[in-house]
Amino acid sequence: MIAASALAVTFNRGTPMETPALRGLDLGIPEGQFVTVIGSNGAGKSTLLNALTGDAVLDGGRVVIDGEDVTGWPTARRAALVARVFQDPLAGSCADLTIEENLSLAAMRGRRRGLGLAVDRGRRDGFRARLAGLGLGLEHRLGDRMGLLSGGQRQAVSLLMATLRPMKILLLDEHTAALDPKTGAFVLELTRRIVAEQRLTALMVTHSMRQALDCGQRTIMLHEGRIVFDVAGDARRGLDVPDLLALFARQRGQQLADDSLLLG
Amino acid sequence: MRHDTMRRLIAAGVVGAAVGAAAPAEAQEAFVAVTAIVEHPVLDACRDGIRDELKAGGYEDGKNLKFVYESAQGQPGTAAQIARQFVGDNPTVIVPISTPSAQAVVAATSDIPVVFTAVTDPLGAKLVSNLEKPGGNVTGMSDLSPIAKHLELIQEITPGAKTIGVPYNPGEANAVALVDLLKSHAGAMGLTIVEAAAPKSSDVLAATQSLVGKVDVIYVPTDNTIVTALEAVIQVGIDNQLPVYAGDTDSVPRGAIAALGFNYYDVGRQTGKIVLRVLKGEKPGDIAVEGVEITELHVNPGAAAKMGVTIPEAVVKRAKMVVQ
Amino acid sequence: MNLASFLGAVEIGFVFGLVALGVFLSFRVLNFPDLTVDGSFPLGAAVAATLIVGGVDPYFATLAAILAGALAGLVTAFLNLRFGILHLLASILTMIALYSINLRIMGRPNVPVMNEATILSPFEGLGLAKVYLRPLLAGIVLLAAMALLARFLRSDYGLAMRATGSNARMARAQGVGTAQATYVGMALSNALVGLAGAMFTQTVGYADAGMGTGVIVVGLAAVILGEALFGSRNVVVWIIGCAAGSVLYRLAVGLALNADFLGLDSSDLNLVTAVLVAVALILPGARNPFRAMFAARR
Repeated sequence: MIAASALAVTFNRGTPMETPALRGLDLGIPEGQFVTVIGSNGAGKSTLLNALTGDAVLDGGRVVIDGEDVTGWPTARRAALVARVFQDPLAGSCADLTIEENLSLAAMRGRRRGLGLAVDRGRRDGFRARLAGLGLGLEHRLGDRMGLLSGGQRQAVSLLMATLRPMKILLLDEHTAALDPKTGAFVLELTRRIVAEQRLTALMVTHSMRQALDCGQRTIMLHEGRIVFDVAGDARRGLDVPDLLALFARQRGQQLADDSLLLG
Repeated sequence: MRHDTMRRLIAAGVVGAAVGAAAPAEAQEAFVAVTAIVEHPVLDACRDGIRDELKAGGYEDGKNLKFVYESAQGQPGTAAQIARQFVGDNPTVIVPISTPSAQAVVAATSDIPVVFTAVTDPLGAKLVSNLEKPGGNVTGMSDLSPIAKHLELIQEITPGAKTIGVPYNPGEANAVALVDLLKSHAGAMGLTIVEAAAPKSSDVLAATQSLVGKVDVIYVPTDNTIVTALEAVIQVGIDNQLPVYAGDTDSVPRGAIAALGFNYYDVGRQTGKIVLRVLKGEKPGDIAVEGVEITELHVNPGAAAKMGVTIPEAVVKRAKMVVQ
Repeated sequence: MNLASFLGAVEIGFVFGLVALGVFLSFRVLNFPDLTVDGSFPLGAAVAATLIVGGVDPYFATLAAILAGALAGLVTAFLNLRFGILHLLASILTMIALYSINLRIMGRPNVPVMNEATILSPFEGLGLAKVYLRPLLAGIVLLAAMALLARFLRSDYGLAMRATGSNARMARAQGVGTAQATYVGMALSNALVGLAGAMFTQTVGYADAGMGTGVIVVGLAAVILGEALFGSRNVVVWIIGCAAGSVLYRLAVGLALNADFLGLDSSDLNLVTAVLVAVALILPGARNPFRAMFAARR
């Protein structure tokens, strides 16, 4: 369903600071699968997401979504197929616009925007119903600016925005990392519920090995631009964090030294 | 909601004050409303000349005359507003100084008498359709330099000169009119004009330098942009032994060799005379548009020497003012 | 201030209200600091005046001026998007180029339009004196522009344009073609200013190469005055604020022209305007003393 093959991205090519971010990465995700991605800083997680959304220009490789080769497509063009929730709560929505305006923008993702009214009664009612499902009371605050919401509220709304329209894959980019633990847990639980309810294909990058194992059906680990292991289904069920560490050591012949991965 | 109300009150206050402010337009002895497009020594001198001439004619500001002056500060919107303001105040005469101010005023009224001044080309600016008998409510003074006489002066002082270089601001209606006039007179006198465009004062130096080697003398027209940067032109003249003539007399002490000009205070006084005629009851439509009457010859032998020129004795004797 | 002066101020305020709308669209909606208006305003005037003097129907001439303004906006956007030139610099480049272009269009620095047919002509002689007719017509045009702009910004496409200015990355993630939105917005913004220039030249009787001086400052002052007094809680209120700000600014000018007792000269106005705009630009949002004094509870 999502087939990324031989992805290669190099930053600062031709300069002394040349850094290969992805080195010929292959990844296939069947429809309906929820994949978690872990890796230390600089492993290439964000670059992988950017390659899928079109924000990163590939030096090599292809991205095929549902049989369509989208490799050359810019972000806006891929928006109909790919939905994304950013790590930074501020990045995923427009602070100056109201909740209903942001939802309207999301509701038109991938569709041709004409001159019809962006927020009419029909849409408003629909938004109210969906927001009520979050359980945060936001359905009464449709006219409030997004900037007034807390980080957790914004991420919840961003998640809702991402799922307003059908998409081929939902990308979650460490979307709970910037939140306090309690709010982060809330948003994570919301994520699992929504992905399960709508049977979405999802790829979630997380800094926490614990989260990676608890969510989804498959976990891959990136290191230096490549996938170093990939476990799913039964093989993954019995795993715990120390097992992941051992897996890593065996693959790479080295100890993993990233605290945030271990302690998260 | 208190803050909302306060804001609305402030807005209402501005409107109210604007409507209520100022004395109502009532009949004083005479009411002369003067406006210029921008504050500038030349235009200010003109205004002062008008005021002094009115005083000499028996109309003194504060006694039997209300004399109002507003500058548009270079803003076209403000100039238009001032024009409408004046029309609303219903003065006896409106005196716009400079072409844009004159145009704004003439467009705003067809009854109130208008006496314009410091407008180089009143016909071209469509302020009047006829210079001898304008008809209508508009007349005034043109500050057109006596171009033919300037060219004669150049030929008299530097007989060998065949090509004249003219730096000017192509965005100034007056300057363009002057250059056109220069060209039309030059041909008949066997002279060629080479122009150099300088849209801003900071461009004047480069424009003047571009004339070096192409021209025999330089002529600085009555163009504010160039006159402001006169020293740059003078320097080029001295460095290249290129004589610099000017269209206005204030430039001569600054280093120009000679000028057959007038000063704007005199222009103001001449304008004042026209205003007096209107105040006394003459219709503007019957008053011919005047050109500048008083011209003076100013020369600067010292500057001439620096540029490699000796001014003929006859010319120096004739001069109204010789700068030492 | 008597009635004629008041109406005169209101009329100029309405014409420059179009400029305020244009500036609002570029500065506030698109977040694109745009100085092109100092060139597109006289461009509109030049195109309209030259065509009218050449015998073209004034309505067509005004339409041509609108299109010319739009073109100028497109050029600035092109310089910014295609070549990565900083928006402010791109707009300055266009503005400078337009100075020469306007001279070319007019053929001379000043084109008088007096005694020519204008968009006002069909309504003259219908019984309403010019002193009422002019502000009325200007007001109708402004009102129409405001209504159309407000409706546009509340549409899906308009919302996409607002998102482009607010958070371009997020907008792209939602499938918004931000480049196209910028082109359209800049074209629209400068089209409004071109219209203002065309209307101004027909009401003031001439087009002049130097007519663009300070137009951006006047436009900004109007927008900021409107924001300070009316707030920006939604698009409709914001737009009304822009128009009201423009009229209030002109009334304040009128006040200075009249109020000898205040000791204010029209010459002080430039300084006052600059200070007002600077203060409101330097201190955004909550820290702005104007806002602190006047901000409504949202």
